[in-house]
Amino acid sequence: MLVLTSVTKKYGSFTAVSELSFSVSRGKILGLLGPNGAGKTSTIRMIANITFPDSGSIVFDGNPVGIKTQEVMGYLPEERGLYKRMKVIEGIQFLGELKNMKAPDAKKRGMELLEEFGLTDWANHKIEALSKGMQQKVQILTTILHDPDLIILDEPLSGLDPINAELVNNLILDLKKKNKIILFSTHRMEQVEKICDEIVLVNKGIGVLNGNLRDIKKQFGRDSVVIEFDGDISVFDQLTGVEIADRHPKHVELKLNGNPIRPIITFLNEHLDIQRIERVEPSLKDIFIQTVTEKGFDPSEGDLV
Amino acid sequence: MNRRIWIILKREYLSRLKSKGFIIGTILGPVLILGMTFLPAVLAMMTLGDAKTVYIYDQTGLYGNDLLSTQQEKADLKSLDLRDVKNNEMAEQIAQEKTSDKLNLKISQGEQTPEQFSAAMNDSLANKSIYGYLLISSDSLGKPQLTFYSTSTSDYLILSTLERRVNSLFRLKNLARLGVSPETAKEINATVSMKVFKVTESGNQEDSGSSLMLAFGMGFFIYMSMFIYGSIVMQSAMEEKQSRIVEVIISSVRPFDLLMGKILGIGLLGLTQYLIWGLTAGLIGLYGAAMISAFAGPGAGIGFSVPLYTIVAFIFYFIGGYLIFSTIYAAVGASVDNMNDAQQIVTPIAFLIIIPILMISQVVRDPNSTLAVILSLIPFFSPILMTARIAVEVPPWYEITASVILMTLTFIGMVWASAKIYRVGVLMYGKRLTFVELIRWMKY
Repeated sequence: MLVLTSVTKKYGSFTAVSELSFSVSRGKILGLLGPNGAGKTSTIRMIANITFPDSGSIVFDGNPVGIKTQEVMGYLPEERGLYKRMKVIEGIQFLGELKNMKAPDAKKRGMELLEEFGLTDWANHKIEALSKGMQQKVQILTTILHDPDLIILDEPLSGLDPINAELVNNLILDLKKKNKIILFSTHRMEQVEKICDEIVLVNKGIGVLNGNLRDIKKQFGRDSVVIEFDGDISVFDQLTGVEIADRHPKHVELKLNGNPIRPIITFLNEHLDIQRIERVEPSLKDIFIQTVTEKGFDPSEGDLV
Repeated sequence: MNRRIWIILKREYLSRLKSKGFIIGTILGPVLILGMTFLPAVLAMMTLGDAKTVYIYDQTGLYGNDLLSTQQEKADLKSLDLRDVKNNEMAEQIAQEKTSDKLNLKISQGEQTPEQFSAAMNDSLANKSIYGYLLISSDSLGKPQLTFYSTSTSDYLILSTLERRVNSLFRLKNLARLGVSPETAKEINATVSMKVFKVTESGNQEDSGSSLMLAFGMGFFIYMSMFIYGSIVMQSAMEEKQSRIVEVIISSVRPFDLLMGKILGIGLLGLTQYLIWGLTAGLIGLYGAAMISAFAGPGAGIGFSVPLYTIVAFIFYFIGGYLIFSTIYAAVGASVDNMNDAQQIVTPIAFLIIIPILMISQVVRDPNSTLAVILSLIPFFSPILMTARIAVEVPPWYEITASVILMTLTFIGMVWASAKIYRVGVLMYGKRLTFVELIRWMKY
């Protein structure tokens, strides 16, 4: 169990994280969400014991974070990096040794994981010879090499093609099955919706929403409709009382704001060729925007996707 | 040492040891140093290639012919057996005489006025058929006056040879004029050289400037090492930051462990390199000594011994200096993300290494002056200046002790500060650095 209690981090006069509290238990995936600059990485670095909170506490399995908890933690930073001039397997072994693995064990496990990731042939190549995607996979592999109990992934899917993104998603779900704690940080809300059990929304260093993803969604109700169509999108502008939450040429998400849905569909059906219509839960993005607006922030300041 | 430092050290050391850069550097280093040392000498020798013609016009009629005859004598020296040469002084003399072999002296023939001679000579100078010409006249007291004309007046070897010969002849002529027999005159003309002995507790030791050489040599060695290995440490820290691996590493080890592992690993690499060079030089030296004794008989060779305490002091200050400066360099490397910013911060630090090198001759000349004592006690200067002082004259024990304590404290302080800066610096990108900023980081 990972517990953060009133964690605050300041850099000079700038407060990066303010009184942040949340907890996550084994076998759960926690999504740490927020726009860039919200304090996600600052929070993660404190959990990884790279920087220290000015006040508050971070406790993992009953111990305050420190050298000991670092050994049972795997961290994938947002900015990836490996020793470019080392051989793949040597680099992996080195990072394993730093996590208190014995050299032969680290090498053996490294080879196993390389095979799992389909990189066996590259084991003795220099890391710089690998493509960016492959380097990314090697880095993710080193994160779980020592079978950590707490896995922190900062934007793990950025820079991955859909196939590899799927691979990483499966890996995360696999870790969940093994009863690990996974902390998944991203500013791409739709990535989180698929796999996270719990979420913490942060904005400007402050935790604005925190809890079970299902519960939160329920709380925000099923007030949205997704419509896929062929035709002139400007038709939607003639609707009154509803909000267009998401707008693409052939895909629109409407927020009903309590209006009955039937007349809207009737109206749209006259002007458009509707392909699909579905009543949905609000997206995390909507929830986020609604929450921060209610709390008095201007949501347009962040670069939420 | 903790396990983490050891793992970092091992990687830093082994990955560098196997790198092409290290192998090439180890081979090319000595070649470059030897090249820089001997190239000027070799070049100077090469310029002496052609014999230079100098015409002499002797108004007094006293010296010109004799100058030519000494030239003849000197030519005979060439056949002299070089194996008889036992020391440097004679070798130097011979080198100089050999130089004069390259000097082709000619007396101007026929009746000429000095003006006619000068005019003719200037023509020859213009078409470069001669190197120069020498006018010998005498003043009203009969003292010879030498005037040398040439298009290039920078070859001091030729100038001094000419002057020395005429001086020597002048003395001999004067002695002859005063009725001194040629044999006696030769004895009077003979030169002596002075040997210098250094008085130490363990007895007197011949010292032909060797301890001075040693002081400068060791000082420069430490100077170069601090610069070279300091910047390797800096680059290494910077590379880890640029490649962003550093964040992964400090999620596993403390920044202090990373810092120490890196410094010790690269330090060990430096020692390995020096060991390779030292052994190679030692082998070549042994071989050389064997060659010398084979030709010149036993006992020949250079009598140059370095006292043990000097070696011990050198090793201590060498390592101490490396540790202090590499720690600083590491902190700088971790704080910047490009070479330009690094230069800005490094310049004032480089001064801490350069100042003692600028002061070294001052300190060596008067090793117990207040200035020398104070300078050599400043921990950043101690590595170079205390070593130099110990080489020329062992300072009082309490001064050495004080410098050892001060350096140790400085090292600890630097490690503390650098570890702090490291922790903040490695995660700081795109920020232009100032010293004020660095100091603020220590508080984070």
